[in-house]
Amino acid sequence: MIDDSLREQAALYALDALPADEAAKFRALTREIPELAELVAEYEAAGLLLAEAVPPVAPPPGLRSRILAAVAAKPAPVESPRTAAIWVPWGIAAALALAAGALWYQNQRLENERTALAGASAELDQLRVASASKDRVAADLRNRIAELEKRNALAQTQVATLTSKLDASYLASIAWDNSAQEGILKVRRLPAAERGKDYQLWVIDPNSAAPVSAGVFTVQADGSATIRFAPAQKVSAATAFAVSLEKSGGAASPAGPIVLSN
Amino acid sequence: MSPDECMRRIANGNEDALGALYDQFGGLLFGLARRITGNEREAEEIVQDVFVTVWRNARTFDGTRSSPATWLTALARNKSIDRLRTSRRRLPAPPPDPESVPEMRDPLPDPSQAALAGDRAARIAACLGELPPNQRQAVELAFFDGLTHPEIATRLNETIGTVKSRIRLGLDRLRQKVKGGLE
Repeated sequence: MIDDSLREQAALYALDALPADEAAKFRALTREIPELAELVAEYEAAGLLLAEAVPPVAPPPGLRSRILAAVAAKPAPVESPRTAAIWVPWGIAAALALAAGALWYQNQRLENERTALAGASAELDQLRVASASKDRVAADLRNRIAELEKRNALAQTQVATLTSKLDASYLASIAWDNSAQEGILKVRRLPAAERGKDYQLWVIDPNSAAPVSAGVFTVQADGSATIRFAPAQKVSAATAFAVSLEKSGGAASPAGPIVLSN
Repeated sequence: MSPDECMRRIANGNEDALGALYDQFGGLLFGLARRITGNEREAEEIVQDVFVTVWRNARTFDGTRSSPATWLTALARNKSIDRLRTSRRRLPAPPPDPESVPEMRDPLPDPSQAALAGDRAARIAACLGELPPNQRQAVELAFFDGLTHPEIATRLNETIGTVKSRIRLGLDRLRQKVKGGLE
């Protein structure tokens, strides 16, 4: 009997929405309760309706040929030739003949094997218990690693807000990951750069003699821009950020007016 | 060539059959991967990964347990969610480049296939439309955003019990629809 609680877990498991530790416990249950595994399969099929409701999108050009080129480089493991099947009956007949010859010997061994089988069965039960326990431990570890990675990523992300002395409405924010040496700049309400000019982002690194260029950018009609950037050279520590207005294509070091800074 | 026939031929190393399978499902899988990851480049890699997986594992495919469409969709969804969760543990996904110009696209498969798919899609859309909005929202956050039930509860500011119940009720309705042939 599958109660409501198990049905809830089955639905969540089918959508991969159980946390790892709960999923490991539930997976063990599905091995013991076939009806539960069947229910999960039905929920999975139901969930996939959502995928089918997504409108198809024509893939990028060339993807088909890239896939075919990729598989051509990796020949599929094909089925064994059918000729092998012809020999199967002969093989069975030979095995039966051998088996008949060995019958007497096997009878002698049968009792010993029964005893061994009982031992193996008990050992198997123990292994199942140990395996379930290891599943739980592994799931716990995966959870802890994921949590640590999440904390680590957050700890490494430095967030800065840039304002302007030219116009208080200009605004920008930066998320900078020093270990990855990359960041995201979001700009709001910044007017388009005048003809022949570009906005240029700079990273101030105390260990660098001059500000490090992180590239030029333009804003959209509404004054916004979202740019993923990586500085031109390695930054040991980003203590500040600035945006200046430079000649088109950018400058080697800031020469134009500072538009945004923190 | 039917999807089942494609699978049989792929199992025997027929590359043309893989191309035929791509023609039938490439658009669906690319749309799904793009919907989940929000990133065309990643979606492209996922679709390639799916078809290479199909190529390598076609022999193990059991047509009595699921259809090729179900297998392909599940592969694409699982690979997309894996990528989504991995990137969520790092930085936010790269934003779309505002200056990027959409590429020219491969054409979608032939119109008769599209019409058949369109009929089924319409029935599926009708089924999803019958779900109460809060059940559909909870199911979609799990399916497309790869959120676990505690994460969904936080996102929706609801109790875990409420979220569990909504997902179960939503999936139960869809399950009944599948059993009834989507009628």
